[in-house]
Amino acid sequence: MLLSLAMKFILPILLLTPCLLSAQSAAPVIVIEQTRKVDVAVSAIAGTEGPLATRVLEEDLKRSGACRVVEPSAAAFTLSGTLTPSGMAGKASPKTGGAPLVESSFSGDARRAAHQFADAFIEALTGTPGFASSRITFASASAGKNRKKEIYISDIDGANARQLTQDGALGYGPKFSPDGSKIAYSSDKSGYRDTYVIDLNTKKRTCVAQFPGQNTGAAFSPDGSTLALSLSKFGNPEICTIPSTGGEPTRLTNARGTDCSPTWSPDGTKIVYVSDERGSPGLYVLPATGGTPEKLNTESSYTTEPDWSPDGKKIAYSITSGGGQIGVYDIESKKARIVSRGSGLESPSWTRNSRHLVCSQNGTLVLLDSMTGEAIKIPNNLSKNTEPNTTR
Amino acid sequence: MKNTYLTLLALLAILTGCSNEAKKGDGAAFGDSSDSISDTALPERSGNPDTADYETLKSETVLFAYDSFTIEAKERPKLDKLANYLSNNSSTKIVIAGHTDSRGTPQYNLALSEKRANAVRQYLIGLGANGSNISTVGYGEDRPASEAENESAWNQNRRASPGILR
Repeated sequence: MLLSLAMKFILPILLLTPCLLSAQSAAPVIVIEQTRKVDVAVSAIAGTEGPLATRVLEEDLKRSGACRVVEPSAAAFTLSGTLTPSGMAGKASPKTGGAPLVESSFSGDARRAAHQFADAFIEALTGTPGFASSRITFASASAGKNRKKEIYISDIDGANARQLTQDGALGYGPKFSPDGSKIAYSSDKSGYRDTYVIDLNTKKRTCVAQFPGQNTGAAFSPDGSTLALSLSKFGNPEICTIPSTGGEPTRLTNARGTDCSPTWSPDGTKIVYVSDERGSPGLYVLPATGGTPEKLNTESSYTTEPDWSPDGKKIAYSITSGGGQIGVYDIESKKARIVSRGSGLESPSWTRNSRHLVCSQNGTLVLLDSMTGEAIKIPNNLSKNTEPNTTR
Repeated sequence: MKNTYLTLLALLAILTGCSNEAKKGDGAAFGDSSDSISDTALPERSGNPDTADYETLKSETVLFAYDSFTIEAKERPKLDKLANYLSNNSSTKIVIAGHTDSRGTPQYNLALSEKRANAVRQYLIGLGANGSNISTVGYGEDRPASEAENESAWNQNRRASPGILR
């Protein structure tokens, strides 16, 4: 209902600008051509937390890549909010009058509620989920030869950063469970590299893999039941799966090279990972239950850190050979393209919209728009930030 | 007899190394990627690599080329010495700690450093060492020998260091 109203309103924009309109089975999706954005305004929200909520909402709308924040007189939509004891009542009204595009209540503190309002508006506008309410987890290092790396969590705009581990060791590769309630990571706090799962609700941590050698790079399956990870217990780093609560491994690869960084397709049937069995590290896909790996032709020679997009259509990865760039491989067309500008970029993690990626760039976290190549900083007070992962 | 055996093994290693030079590195005396020789499973863990003695056997630190786990011919005399040490100290347990330079991405560097340690371990087993006394650990790029960012520092940092577990 709301969507159809949105479509009615956006139709004139579509006629005036070279937007793409593609029909999907679920809902029509408007992909706004990269330089064209919908003009929106945010009315100042009243109350003590009002200025904060207003600013957060504006920043979220800008970061979405779908909007430009303008004066109310020039806006196609005006967003207004009223802070309540439990959150915020939000409304997005079209300039032309008529029914609001969004009219709903959002819970949580002012910041949280503003993020959810932004996500609801972006989804109503574009048909694709917004990511303003997502969180990120990452590793951050201290300086020096005997550096330590601890695991952190923050909102996707950098706010609310907090340190999760106090291991005094090298923490690596934190990844969220599909529901965002757990984080798997690896640490050598025992002296060897083990895999742990932190339950964010109970604050409990469990060691789920401590086989001889390395146990690292764990990624949750889409149903949360299984972890894919790299184990070297066989004498060589190989891709394996284990139950996400721990247990005996199932070995998926048998190569003499280095196999690491597994991640799942969103339907859980396939795993993409890194192997250097045929030379420089490249990307391979194999069935999640085991089988013959297929090499992806990314046209770059040193590619690592694959991440499968939530819509299942693309795989993002790091290109080391180009000085640190991000590539995206399109599954259907089998074509690869470089989506970043500049250098020092690595560790891409897709956000919900399958367009933006959180990456690290020379130790700073950035949000990269894979359509425009624009990367904006995700500020925090930490340095040497690596391996970000987003909630979906 | 033992000498002949070692010479033969060394010859085999050199030959294999040569035949693989155009391709990706190879730690031990394996054939190409299509053959089915598997590595030796790692032993149950013992000691703590973090507190191991990396000084005593420091001169046996093996260096690697960029993005490679090949044990180069010039590094092999170090491993002959290390294999000798192990044969004279048959109850000593050691850990091979693998490292990379700062280039490359975190998980691949972790795995590559582990693979370098695995390759050294496998080579030592090839020389007759007892594999159950050799553990491995990979530190990726996070325990550099030199913190500088230049060719000379990177050369020092791409290494596998033997440590005596205590």
